[in-house]
Amino acid sequence: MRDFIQFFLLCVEAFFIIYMIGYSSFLFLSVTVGSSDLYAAKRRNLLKNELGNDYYVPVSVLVPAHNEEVTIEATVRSLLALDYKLYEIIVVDDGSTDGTTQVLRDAFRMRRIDRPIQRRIPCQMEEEVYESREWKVPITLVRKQNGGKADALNMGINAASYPYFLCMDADSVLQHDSLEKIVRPVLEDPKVVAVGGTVRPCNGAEIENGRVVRYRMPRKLLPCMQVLEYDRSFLASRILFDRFNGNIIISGAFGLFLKSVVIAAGGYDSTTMGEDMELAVKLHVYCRENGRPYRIRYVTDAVCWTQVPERLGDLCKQRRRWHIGLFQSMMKYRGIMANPRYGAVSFVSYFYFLLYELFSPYIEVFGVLTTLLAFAVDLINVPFMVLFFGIYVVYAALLSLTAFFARVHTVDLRLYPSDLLKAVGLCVAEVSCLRFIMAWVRMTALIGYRRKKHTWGRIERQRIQIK
Amino acid sequence: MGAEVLLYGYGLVCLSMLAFNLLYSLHLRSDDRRRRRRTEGLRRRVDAQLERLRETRVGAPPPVQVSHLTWTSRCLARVNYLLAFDRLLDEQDQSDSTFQEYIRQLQPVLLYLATVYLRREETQAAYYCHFLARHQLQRHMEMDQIQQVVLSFLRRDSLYCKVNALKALCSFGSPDILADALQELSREESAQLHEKVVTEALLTYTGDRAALIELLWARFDRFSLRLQRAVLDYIRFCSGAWGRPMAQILRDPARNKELRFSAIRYFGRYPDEGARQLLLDFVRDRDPLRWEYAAISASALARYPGQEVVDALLRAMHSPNWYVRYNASTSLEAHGLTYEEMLEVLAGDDRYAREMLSYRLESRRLEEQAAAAAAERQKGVAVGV
Repeated sequence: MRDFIQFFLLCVEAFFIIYMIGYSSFLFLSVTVGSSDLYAAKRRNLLKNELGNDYYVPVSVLVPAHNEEVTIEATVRSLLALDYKLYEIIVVDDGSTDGTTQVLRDAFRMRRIDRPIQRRIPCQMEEEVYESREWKVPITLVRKQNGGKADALNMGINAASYPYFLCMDADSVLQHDSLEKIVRPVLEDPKVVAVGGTVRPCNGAEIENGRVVRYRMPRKLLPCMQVLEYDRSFLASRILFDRFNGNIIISGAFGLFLKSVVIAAGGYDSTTMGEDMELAVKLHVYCRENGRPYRIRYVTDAVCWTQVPERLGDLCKQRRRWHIGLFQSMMKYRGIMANPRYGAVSFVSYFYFLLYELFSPYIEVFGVLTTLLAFAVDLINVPFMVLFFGIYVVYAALLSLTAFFARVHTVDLRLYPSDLLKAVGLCVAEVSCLRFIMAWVRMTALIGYRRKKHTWGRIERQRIQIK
Repeated sequence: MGAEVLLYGYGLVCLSMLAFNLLYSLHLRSDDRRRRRRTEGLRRRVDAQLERLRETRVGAPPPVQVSHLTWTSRCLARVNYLLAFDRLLDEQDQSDSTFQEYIRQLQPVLLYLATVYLRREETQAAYYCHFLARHQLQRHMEMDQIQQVVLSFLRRDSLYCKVNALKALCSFGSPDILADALQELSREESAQLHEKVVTEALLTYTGDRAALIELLWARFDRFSLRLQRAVLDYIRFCSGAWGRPMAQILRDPARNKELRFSAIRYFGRYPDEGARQLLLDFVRDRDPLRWEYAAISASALARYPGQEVVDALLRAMHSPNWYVRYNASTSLEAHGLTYEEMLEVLAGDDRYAREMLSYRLESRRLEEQAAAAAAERQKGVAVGV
């Protein structure tokens, strides 16, 4: 029996070494590529290697909302402050039971209108449509039967007048120049069908007219750790994947799409929880299957500020949703796996998400359990285990800090010394504690997921610090 | 043990990156100071030359010192100094004749720098073109030689280099060189500029636009489709004197549909009796595959008077296509029909047409209310003042 356990543990050890080498190499490569890319972008901007502001691509900004009476007015006001000329705002109230519609009607003097909406993608029926022309750009509010976020976005696409649409969350704020920056790839390359922007936590930031006037790390520890986590994931993988058109996720909080291609591909899938990832993968599949040349881009300097959960319960709920969404997308498009037709999207992006995102919680918890088993049968070198864990923590913390500083310096944010101390201290806590809690949450996410598939993820909203 | 070593190696590189970040942060803090210092250094030297030119304004101006030109050539070959010089030029009074004379005499330096930056990496090359475009050097000099060099910048891979070089040529280039530039840009199918970018650049051209358009027509078929669209859009924004060649494009079914759409838009902006029948034919066409022609023509017919047009637009209100109905309703409004009248004409006839008309009616009311509210606010402000 002991021999068998020894053999089993040997196999596990070999597996984990390969797994760790793969993961650390990927992280290393992505953070170095990401950092150098940010510095190159800063240099390019200094030397005016950018398209000017005059090439306006018409964009419909879609804001799906469900029970967002606390934040929706601030969100729409921030959209009116964008440095862009040719856009419209469409808020889709997905059957809110609070005063979301009333808040918007009062704040923006919206009037009910009988607007025919061309239903090019299936979605729930509209109940009321309101419009206002008194502002810088037209604002439309579509109140519809509840059908989930994806369904609300489909309604927004149907109501959109312009050839490009931008989706965002109702609790997010776009930086004043974000629209101008996110359309640049479209002008740079006519093949671009979708562009993902950078999402940053706004907890702790003070935003005035879409400009960050004061940036502090959030007061609470949990959002602080998420700041580090967001920096690492956005800086790291997305920039690297962008190099080979391999991004298979565009955050639902901030993404620009070519409407005609999205409609041709069937729009958002309202039966999945991760509608943002599902759409990005669907676009890859649609374009490749139909032989359409395409690019899905990611831009670092188009920024959307979003609220991250401040309570552990909310964070767990959010991550559970994300994991279920990931699972559904990966399963739905499993045909991509090891499919030469998809090239790097299959062999790099898909495998990365499969091994290091979808399976990682199971692998990590399995690792902890086998460590306990080895400990129980006295087959573990405890000092080596502690050393190895120490190396892992320091290495991951270093990567987080590298991403954090690269981001801070390249977007001209000034940090306070206390923020630096927080970043240094919490990157260790994030890697050694939060990560394992999230691993457990993600591992248990799939239990009973079918029951939750049409719901909106609710987290406690705070009023965003907008002036 | 191998994994451990690899991790140590990676960690070391990350540590170096972290150190680089910190050093870079310190470097950034002093960057502004350094740039100011460079600008001041340049200003002292340029001011001395301007003073020299001013002192002897009577008669022929003396040349700028050769030593200054030599020093400037050497100095501005470094991109950080070119940035500082860019900043310095921004601060100068561009209309001052002495300053213009100074810039005129700097022409050989700029030509030399063009050959230097042409060999530099893409970002620096693009910046040099940006520099040339920004300071509108056409006002100061005949730039024949430099035009040819800037044309070579279009062959670089960088998109920004191409865009900035095109802008520079629009700033001081001749119609011939611009037509050459578009031909050059048409060569690489894979690296085509967006038509909006090209149109916007062409719109900044300050020379003889009629001569430019004539040349662009003459070489039209040598441009790529994307650039042909850009040229047609440019012509539409510039002048209504090109109805004949536009009509040829509109009539030619072998032409790409995007070009024909551009021609329809042109005739929407500049009504032409010769195009009327063709536009009416497009609007009357019920082939669902040709709905785009119908929709754009419905919009273009807004400026064509006559009962025949109104009848065609009213018929278009029954089109199964949403866009055709929407554009037709807007054009009917431009023809002076109120939506109430149109609703009467179409009453009970077609639900989709009725819905669209009633939506347009309500939209119009909203727009009028918004305009009234804005006027009210304006009045309030005036009274307050």
